[in-house]
Amino acid sequence: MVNIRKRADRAVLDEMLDGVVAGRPVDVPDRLSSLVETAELARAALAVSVDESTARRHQTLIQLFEPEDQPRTLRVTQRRRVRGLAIAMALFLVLGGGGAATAAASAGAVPGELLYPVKRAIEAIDLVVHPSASSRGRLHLSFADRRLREVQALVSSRGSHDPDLIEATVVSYQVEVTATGVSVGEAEQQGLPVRGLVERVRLRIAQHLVVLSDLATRVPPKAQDAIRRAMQRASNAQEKVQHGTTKPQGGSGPQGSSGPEKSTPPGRGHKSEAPTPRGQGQGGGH
Amino acid sequence: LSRHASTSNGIAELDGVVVRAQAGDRLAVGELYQALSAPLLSYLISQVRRAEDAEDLLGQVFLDAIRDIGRFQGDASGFRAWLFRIAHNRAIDLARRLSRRAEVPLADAEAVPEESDAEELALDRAERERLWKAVRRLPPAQREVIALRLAGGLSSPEIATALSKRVGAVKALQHRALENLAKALQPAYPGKQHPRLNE
Repeated sequence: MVNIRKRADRAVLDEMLDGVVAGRPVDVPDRLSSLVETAELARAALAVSVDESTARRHQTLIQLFEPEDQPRTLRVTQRRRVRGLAIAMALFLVLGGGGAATAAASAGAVPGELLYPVKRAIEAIDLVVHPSASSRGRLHLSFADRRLREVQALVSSRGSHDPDLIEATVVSYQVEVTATGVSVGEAEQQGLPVRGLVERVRLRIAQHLVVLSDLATRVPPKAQDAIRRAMQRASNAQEKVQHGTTKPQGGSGPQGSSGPEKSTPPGRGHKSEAPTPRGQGQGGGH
Repeated sequence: LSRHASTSNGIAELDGVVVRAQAGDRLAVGELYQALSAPLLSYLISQVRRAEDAEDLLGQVFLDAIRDIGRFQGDASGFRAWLFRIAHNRAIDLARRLSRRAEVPLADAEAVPEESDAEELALDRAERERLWKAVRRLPPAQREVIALRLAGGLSSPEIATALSKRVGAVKALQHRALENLAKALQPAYPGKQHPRLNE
């Protein structure tokens, strides 16, 4: 019966997959070759590595975590806690021990929530423990991402908008995106390899600009100016990063065994480049 | 459990490390993190849209594991299945929380994570993107199983343990998932079906 054959195929496929997962060669019957080939491709495509800074942060938390002291879950119910207390707690977590679950739980916090200052304090510590300009660039870029998501979360929250909070978060985004450009510039000056980072910054800021131009139409009027300025800053950072890598080919790289980092790679047909703030902002929005 | 170990890539070597971790040795937990964090992250990224969330969950998974490791019984293979089960539960919790928050996703910027250096040599970015998208489009149960199998490196019995499913059901799901993936990828590579992996 068909079912019996199918079941047999599944068993054989399972054995083949054991081989694929273990990275050992497998003798594949013809009828399953396309599936095994797909599995090999998918395995290669899905593989990722843990970012060095993330691994370091997690390892720190692992070493400091005291399970007995921690509640099973932390609920963000009491909003009126002192901001300074939260920051002190964050420092205690990372430097002094205990409370690591709080640090993990703070990851999804948005401005105005109790754990948000913890999240920001941990970011600050992250920057301190990463002395290299390129890793700081990477961190600032990821913080800029976070700020933008926080703005989105604030704008789309079901309750009433708090224009001040939105504006402040947009300003924080400006700070991060500017710092990204600065750090990448520093990394380049120090002759660090930045090609991957530059490409990442370029693409990410292009996406930021799309999101910002969308947000510009949805934020309260008070925050609109901040959004426009943020778009300007983002474009500046993008230009700075791009020009930084296209010009110094001769000068910055040491002697090139692997060669100095190339400028932006030839267009690989990435979906959409960023709309410039001017192009979007004046044409479409108001 | 010993059957899991025999089919898993080198996981048995971690048996002693798991024992040390159970005895409260934090350095052993650190070693487990080193050994298992990349496949766990890969699995988490396939389950929660954003790489950033996946990284946060990865940390939480290990903290949960430290908290509950006294209750765990078994070898390294069982430990791995247990860890992925925690990851699975954490991913579900996050999805629930995000759905309550009604957050607008920030484009699909992180749908395809940065490649690891080793894999960068094997597949170019466009191919990775195509594969990630195809995996994400799978029905949830198939995606879950294929991610545990190929990203997490778990064996079918380990997946069955992690998801509380029967091994036969896992095999059926992975078979269907691969059929769907192959189908989804086919139009992109006319001629010889798929791109070749570099050596």
